[in-house]
Amino acid sequence: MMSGLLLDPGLVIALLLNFYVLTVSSLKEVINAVAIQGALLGLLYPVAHADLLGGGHEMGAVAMLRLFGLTVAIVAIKGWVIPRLLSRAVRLADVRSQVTSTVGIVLPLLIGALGTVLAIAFARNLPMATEHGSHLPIPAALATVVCGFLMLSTRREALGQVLGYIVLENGIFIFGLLLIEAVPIMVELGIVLDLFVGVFVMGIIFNHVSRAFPEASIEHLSSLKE
Amino acid sequence: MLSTVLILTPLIAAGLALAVPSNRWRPWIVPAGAACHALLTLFAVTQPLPTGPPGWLRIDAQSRFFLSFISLFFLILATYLPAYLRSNGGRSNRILCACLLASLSSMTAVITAHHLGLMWIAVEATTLATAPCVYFEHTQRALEATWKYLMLCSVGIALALLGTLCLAYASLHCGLHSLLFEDLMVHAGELSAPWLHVAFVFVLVGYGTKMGLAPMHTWLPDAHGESPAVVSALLSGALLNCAFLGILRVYLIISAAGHARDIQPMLIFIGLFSMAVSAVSIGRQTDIKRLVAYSSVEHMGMMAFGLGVGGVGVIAALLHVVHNGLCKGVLFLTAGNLYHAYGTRDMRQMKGVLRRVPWSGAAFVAGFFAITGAPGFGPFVSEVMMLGGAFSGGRTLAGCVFLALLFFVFVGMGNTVLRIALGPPPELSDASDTAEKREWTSSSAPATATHPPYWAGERLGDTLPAFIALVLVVILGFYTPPFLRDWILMAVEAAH
Repeated sequence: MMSGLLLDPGLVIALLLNFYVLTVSSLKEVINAVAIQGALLGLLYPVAHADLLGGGHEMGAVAMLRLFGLTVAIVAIKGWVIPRLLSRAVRLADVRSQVTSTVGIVLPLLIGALGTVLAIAFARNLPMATEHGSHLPIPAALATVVCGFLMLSTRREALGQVLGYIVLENGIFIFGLLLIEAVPIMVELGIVLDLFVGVFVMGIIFNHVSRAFPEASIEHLSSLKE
Repeated sequence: MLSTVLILTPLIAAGLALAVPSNRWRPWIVPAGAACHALLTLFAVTQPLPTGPPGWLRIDAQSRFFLSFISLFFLILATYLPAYLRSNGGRSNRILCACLLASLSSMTAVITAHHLGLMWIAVEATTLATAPCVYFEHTQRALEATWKYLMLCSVGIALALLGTLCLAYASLHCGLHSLLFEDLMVHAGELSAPWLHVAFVFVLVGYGTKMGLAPMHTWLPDAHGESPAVVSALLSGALLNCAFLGILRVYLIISAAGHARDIQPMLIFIGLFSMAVSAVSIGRQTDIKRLVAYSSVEHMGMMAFGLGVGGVGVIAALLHVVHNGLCKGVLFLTAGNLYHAYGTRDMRQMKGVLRRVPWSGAAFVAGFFAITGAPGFGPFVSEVMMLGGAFSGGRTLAGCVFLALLFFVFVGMGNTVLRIALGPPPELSDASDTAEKREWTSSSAPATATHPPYWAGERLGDTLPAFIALVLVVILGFYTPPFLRDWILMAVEAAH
């Protein structure tokens, strides 16, 4: 099946991008990498769809159009709108162009690699539904969630944390690829929209943060202690 | 149909609040919208439960119970809002009023959503709707609290989504292809068991973050402390319960599948851990609203504990939704009055509360006794039921730890509350002295004193809503209405 041939390499690229965002320190490059990952996942959406329906299955014109529209919407939001919002925030808030980690670069990378291995090991213990040929989506999803979580918990800058959150959401999106039939279209759209609005609101708050503090670093946000 | 109207009504009121130009009259739209919502709810919950093919929105047995409580609770809070804003100074309340109504709408959506994916969207919407309310004071501390709230809850809810998707994957195994609650309940036995367990772990951590269970509770004291009293009460009494409903629904599915015993230890552990965290922290609080917020962590832990012991504990947990919610209403609304009367939330500067603000002070102290489980108040009833569930279910050790933690929280909280309640109040006339004192303590004081100038003594609007909630708590301490018992029993039928 052709789509099976496309899905797995796509997911491998997404996984490699995880490691890339964990190591790169230029904010601009992290945003770009996250945008590429988002757009890639958007493109994998119709691929996974074709995979599930099987080769011989004929799609109606309406279903085809819906699939096309949704793909365009996901690619546009994940690959263009959200990265644009973030870049704008960087420009307006005049933050440092480097992201810094509280624990350095090597440790998150090691934990990310370990997390990926563990995700693969863990996913082997879970039964797969019979119609799914590819075994990669579940470990890829879990590994991406782990990487997003790592970014969230180790990045000092508010924007770095938002990027971590987006990577985490991307991981969940990969899992969602398996469930195209179980989770109907409105929910998928709602999920993407929620992500969009969430980042939007975070962007607004972030602007307030950067206005209140010279550098929008979470280290300044530490007056609320016990 | 009816649920759609219920969701849309507060949204329309929110639009109206955005359009009204007068800062003085705008707050009245909130109680008006809440009253419409309550009337519609009254109509909706007296209808027979729906049968037939489920839609995405439906008022089922669980929604009926939660919806009636949340609608009533919001109405009580809404009647307090105009008085609160009058005592709080001249800041524009446009966003606050609109967002409060929008949060009512999204909470209604959480409760009536029969599709677990839709419920997830609605929970995320409640976070987005309440975040601007937390930021109402526009201070740096409020900003920090809002950032933490948004970030932690969004991450938590993302994990809940992963859990929801795992649930969908479990249903894929038996060819169900559905996330509708009723479908999942009916076919629970055929769902893939390993995936159900994974789903529950993610849902517990995810919605547990939003619910304020330790160790994911760190956003909660900050957000409750920094937001206006009405918003704290709303978060504590209504929003946390919506997240609890998310956990409850998945718990019911797993119970129907016959795996409840596998997940119960997890719930008991996280419940007792939350109570322990609260017991350790509550005695050290100097900010009055953070004090009450830690009590929320404790009581959310109790509700998880109730689910964990199963049987009568599950019924007690739902009863505790009402009892805890109403008590939190009393405590936060009166804490808001104390804040206005003293111009600070720092309890080291509050003395003689019972004399300075007799009505609010008395209600606050009564609320303290109620929430710590003194006999004669609602929470006592549900806590005894939880203990009974623990001992009769053979979980003696967990029951003993529960009892000990209750005692520690009582001591920790009582120590502070009684110290501010008794004694003579500080001199009011000497304004320069208090200002000096404030400066002197400002390095360590969690709340910078701002505006007693707007406080003109206790008025009916300040105290009546808290007293209504208090009266309900006392009534529930002696008498559980039969309809409430029936609704709870029907809501948790599957857990038996």
